[in-house]
Amino acid sequence: MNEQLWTKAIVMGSSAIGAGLAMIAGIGPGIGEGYAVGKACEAIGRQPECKGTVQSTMLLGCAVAETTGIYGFIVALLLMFANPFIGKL
Amino acid sequence: MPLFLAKYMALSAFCSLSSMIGMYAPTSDLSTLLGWSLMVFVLITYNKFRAGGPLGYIKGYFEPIPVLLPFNIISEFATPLSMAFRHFGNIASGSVITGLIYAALAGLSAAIFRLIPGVVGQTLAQIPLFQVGIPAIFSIYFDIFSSLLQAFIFCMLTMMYIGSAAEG
Repeated sequence: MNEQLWTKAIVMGSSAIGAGLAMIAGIGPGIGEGYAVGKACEAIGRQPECKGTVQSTMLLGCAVAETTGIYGFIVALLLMFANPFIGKL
Repeated sequence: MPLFLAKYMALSAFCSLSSMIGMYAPTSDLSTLLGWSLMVFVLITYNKFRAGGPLGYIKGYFEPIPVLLPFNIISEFATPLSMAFRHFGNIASGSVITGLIYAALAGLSAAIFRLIPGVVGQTLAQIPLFQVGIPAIFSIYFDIFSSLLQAFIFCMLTMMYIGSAAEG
């Protein structure tokens, strides 16, 4: 009984650490989106008449760039709420 | 086709915005989005068939060189999957962050009102007063902006993928 409790505690703690580590993936999209928005600002500054097109293209590109961060978030969610390792004990 | 996409956009926006009135948003469940992206996959495949015929469809897997066949097959499934995960992840992360904000505000109001001495403080500490109004500020971004943006992006990406499939 005690040993099983220890195993469960170790698995749960490691899963929590893993969920935190998975969210490091948020760095990439942050840098990428910042770069994209900066370039969009430059483009609007150069050609203010293209504002609408640049904005909608930038939002689309930002959403696509976000995907890798979202993958990290989904891994974190799985580890927190639908942990596959606890069932295997 | 435009009517179909408009329907998707309205449905997506409605589903995501329903979390505003405290309901469980259907789009923060992965099954909903996987179903939608299955429809997108069917549409893309249908348009590829229509543009190049069965032979052209199979030939598309061997381009630009035949060695890339496994990667082409993977990318065929990765397109709708990534669309589903993107939409789900955005809405679900909004729900998770909103839940965290609510929990933090409840703790904060309990900690502050407990400082009032006597029965008044004890009673007020039981009621999470800070939960009134303050989450609405974050809701502007996480619920309204994020939901409408994801509805727009889902339809734009569907349109772009179908367009590039129909070109052949």
